[in-house]
Amino acid sequence: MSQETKKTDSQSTRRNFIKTSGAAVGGATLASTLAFPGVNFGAPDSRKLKIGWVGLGGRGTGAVNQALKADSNLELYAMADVFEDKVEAAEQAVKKMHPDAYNVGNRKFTGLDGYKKVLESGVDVVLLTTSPGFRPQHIAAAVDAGVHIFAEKPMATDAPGARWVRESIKKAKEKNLALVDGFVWRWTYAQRDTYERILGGDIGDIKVVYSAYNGNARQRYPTWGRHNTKTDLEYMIRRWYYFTWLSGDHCVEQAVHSIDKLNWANNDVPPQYAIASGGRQVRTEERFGNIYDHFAIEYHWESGVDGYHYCRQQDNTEGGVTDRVYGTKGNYNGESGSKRHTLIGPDIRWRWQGDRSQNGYQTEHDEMYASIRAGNPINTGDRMINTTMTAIMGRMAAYTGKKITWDMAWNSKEELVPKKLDWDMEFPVRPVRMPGKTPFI
Amino acid sequence: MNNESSSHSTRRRFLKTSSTAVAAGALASTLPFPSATFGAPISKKLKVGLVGCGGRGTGAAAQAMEADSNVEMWAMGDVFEDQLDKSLQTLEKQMGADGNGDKLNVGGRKFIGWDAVDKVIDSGCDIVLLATTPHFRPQQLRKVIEAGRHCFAEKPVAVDAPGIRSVLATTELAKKKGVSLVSGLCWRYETGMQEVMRRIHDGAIGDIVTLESTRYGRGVSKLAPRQPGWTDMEYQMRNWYYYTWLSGDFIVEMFVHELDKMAWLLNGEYPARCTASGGRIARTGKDYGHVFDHFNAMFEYDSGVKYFASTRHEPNTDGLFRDHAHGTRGWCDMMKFTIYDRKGKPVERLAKKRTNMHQLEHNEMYAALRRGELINNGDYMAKSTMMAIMARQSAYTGKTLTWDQVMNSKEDLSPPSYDWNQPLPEPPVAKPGVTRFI
Repeated sequence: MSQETKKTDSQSTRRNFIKTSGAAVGGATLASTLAFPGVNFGAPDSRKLKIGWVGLGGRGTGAVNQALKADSNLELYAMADVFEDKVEAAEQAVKKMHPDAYNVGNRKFTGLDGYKKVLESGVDVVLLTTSPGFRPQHIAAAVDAGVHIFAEKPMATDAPGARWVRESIKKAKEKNLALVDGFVWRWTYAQRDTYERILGGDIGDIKVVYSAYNGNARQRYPTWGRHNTKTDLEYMIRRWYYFTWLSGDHCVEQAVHSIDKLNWANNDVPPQYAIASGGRQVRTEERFGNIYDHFAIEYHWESGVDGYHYCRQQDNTEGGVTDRVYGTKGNYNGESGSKRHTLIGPDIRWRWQGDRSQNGYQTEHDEMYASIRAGNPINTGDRMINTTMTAIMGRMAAYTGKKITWDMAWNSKEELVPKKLDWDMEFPVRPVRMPGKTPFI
Repeated sequence: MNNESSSHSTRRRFLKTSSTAVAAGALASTLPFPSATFGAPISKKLKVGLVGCGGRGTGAAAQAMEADSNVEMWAMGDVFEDQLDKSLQTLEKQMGADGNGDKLNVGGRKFIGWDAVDKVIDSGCDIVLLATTPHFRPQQLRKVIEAGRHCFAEKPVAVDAPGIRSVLATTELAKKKGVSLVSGLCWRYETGMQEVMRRIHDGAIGDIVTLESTRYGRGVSKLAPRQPGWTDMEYQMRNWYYYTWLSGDFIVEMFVHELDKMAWLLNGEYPARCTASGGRIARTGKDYGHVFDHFNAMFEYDSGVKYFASTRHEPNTDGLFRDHAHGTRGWCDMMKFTIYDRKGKPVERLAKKRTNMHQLEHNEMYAALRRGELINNGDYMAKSTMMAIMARQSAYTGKTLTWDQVMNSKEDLSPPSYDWNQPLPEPPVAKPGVTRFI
């Protein structure tokens, strides 16, 4: 019985994907699930694809592991990080997981322009997993180099960066390059099945959407501080999470997953405006830079849907990562972690019962390489940048206390990431933003 | 004779300005007098006393004088003499402008001090208006009701759970004593909102799914800089809004209105659980005591309803003031008195603009007394205040809290003594995850 359900769900996943996603995505899914069309596109795994890796942190290590499992003819060919001391650990980690696929040789680059050297080294694919502030620059360079891209979320931390990414997305489409995002729930069957049903009307017309990403503060980088960093820039990159220009703040860096699901429930139509509050109530010491520790964002869609997103990073408070969609015929209740997804209403009692072992972190790479092999590379850029911007819009609303429209957010001139970075540049930490005083720029 | 005709005219005016829904609402919230002793319509001149001579108290007094033709302003009390004098001057002007100048008969019955409430009661008032800072409401309300006086009690009615429990007990006592207890949760008396509730209760938007209230504003500016010679107590009393023990924090002091509207909409169902966050990011510094400047709460009900409630007081930020109710058959923009169908088409506009609810609450109170009927709003005024305290406690502690937990909370915010020389150190600003639920 549960086997039956499972089959139905995974079939419906496939159907859903074609029906509800843009043409590019639909095509890619077809490619990944159907037999390969023929020699025109090259037989599967016919050529060894060289992977470059930029940003040798924890998520990046996971992404490399998953990428190397996604296709039988891949190798890690080059890697880069701004810090030399990151390289050794990354090398050891990959060698341990995939000893045969490690072929980096001396293509280990460091410094602020290490990513350029990776792109010049002759890679076919690049994994971009640095802190988000660098992403727009890295995506642009990768597109220029004609390299397929896996880009972790989020894609930018400010509007100039987001606009840059939007240009790159266009160019990537023209060049037929893969541009795949790390919004893992989009690649998870449980969510695909569920959102297909929601968008198909199983709980009626959608009225209100809600998501929460309430977690703890997690002490990051306990060993790094002013005492063992030489310059402003090094200090901030070592402790990147705590600086808005690098991470986007936690509503952009982390809770963007949950904000993405609000957009998903709205069929990827972005909200009209955001109004928000937030603050820094517990994580207030100087070493925690200038990010907030809680946000509450209200979104409104032109369709009339209201959305609420609450997130916090505070130790010893009530946690919970949940998604809710309220419709006229029932409610969706989703817990991503436990894969518990239910649609409950007077005429519906549904619970997702698909393959619980399916892992979206793996599928995002599986589908990416399959699409490259098929000559029809996936480009999920539009939705990934819209969601990134939705999160940034919420942050802007919280920081300024203003109602921020979609157009205002996109046209914001606030440049958080300096055009040119230099280790020795004077770069004081920006003050914590104060609604009512911090201007919208 | 004169009295009777004027009370008729009051009633006529009341019926004229109110819709049928008001009449229905009033009936529902009034109790018949339990015995012949109380059953007779009151025709005598009613003496009104005011305790708490701030802006709202002064307004309430003027409105009470406007509500009935045979009333007089009889006594006033406050802890601060300057506050009382200012209030009296304002009342002279306002009542004069309203044509009620001859009803001002305070004479020497101006009482200053912590025991002003006792003196106002003892001066022979029939009705006492309680409009001090919320902290004092439970104890003063008990005194008024124990003395068998009718009471108009401004919102909110407490700042902590022990206070709420006291008010609930006093509510029962008011019924036994046969006295009116009218709440300053004025939306309950606003005729457009009454119509909105009537239609929603009739099923106009189907079963309720979600509720939303957002009240984003810029805050109040009632700062009284510390003067030489002021004790801690005087400083905090004069800056009461910024101290949780006095105001309950602004989610309790102001946002209780919105929470109460939703309690009304849900026919008195109160939330099973609340998860809230909040903090102070703009209104910081010691001038602002220790209250938060923003709160966001999600209330969950046993019936399955979810309620998203947000409020802030931050200078120079954008405002938003709305109450939405979403149901299975449509939704309601409550502040616009408009009901929409499932497709988002407006189908009913129930009122054009807001009526003078601060006046109507007094009109109803006196009209009922003249008819020989009592109003008792005690239950909802206590529980809606509790709902606000629940959200504050959840935001302060970072914990999800249940209704049972908060109703049984032992947190008593009272100072050690009501003495001007009582040392009162600045309370710390709450820190979620660190501040404990008590």
